[in-house]
Amino acid sequence: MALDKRFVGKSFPPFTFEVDKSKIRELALALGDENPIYRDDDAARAAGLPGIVAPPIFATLFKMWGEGGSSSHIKAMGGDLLRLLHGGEEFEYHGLIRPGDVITGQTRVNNIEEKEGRSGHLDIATLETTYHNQQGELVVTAQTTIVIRG
Amino acid sequence: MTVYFDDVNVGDAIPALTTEPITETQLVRYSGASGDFNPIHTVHHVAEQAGLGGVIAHGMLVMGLVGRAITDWVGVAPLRTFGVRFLGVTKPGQAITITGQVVEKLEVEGEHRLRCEVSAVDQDGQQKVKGSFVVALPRRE
Repeated sequence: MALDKRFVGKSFPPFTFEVDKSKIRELALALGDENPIYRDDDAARAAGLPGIVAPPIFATLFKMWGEGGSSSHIKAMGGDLLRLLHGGEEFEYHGLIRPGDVITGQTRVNNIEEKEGRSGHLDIATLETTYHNQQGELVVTAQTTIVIRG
Repeated sequence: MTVYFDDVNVGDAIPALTTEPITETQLVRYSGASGDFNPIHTVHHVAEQAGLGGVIAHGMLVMGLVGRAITDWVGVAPLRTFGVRFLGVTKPGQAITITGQVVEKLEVEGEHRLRCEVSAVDQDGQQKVKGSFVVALPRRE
């Protein structure tokens, strides 16, 4: 089933996620990343940081835990989840993400286009999610490309 | 150790990283950490029904490994942009090697930045991810 193009330009409701140290540590462990800046405030300060910070892909947690990830949007737009592929992900960083931050995200549908690929018809959706912290500062913007095989 | 803008040239390689082989336990662990519970990553019979021949790694896990290579090199704070395209599935047993190079030195918004390209392949050279990132680095006094 094709994605409903009437969603282009529309935004989904905002969602929030509170960052804590254990979630940062858990993600670093899952990535096999032993960098102490993800678990030790002193080591992070020695590296010139204000304390423990989140790894670069951490914004994916906001979306997954905060609103069920892109699947929830694809479902809302009429797409078949079994045919969903993650085409790409792009982050733009404006500030550090730290334990104690309360992040508010909001996802907008930037584009839906149809393409004829080698393996058949494709629907390609581009979603943009902005993340602000509790001070109202923009910390990350994420562009997610989702491909639905026809 | 601080990496200075002055010491890096276009064409320089970023330090390569080869991970341990991905394990099924790691996929379970990443699911719990990230909140991505799509069963194609953890439940064999579902992944087989989906025509994948078994569980596959989350794309974002592989992006996370690429991120590890970047932050091992320059840390977290210098990162301005980081993007990838997912080109192939990653399966348990595959070890991922991340390589990259500096493609441009630029001055933007009063910062000295590097634009770099990165690539992730498995032990057979099969490509998983292609991407790019921009970091802002300090100058030597």
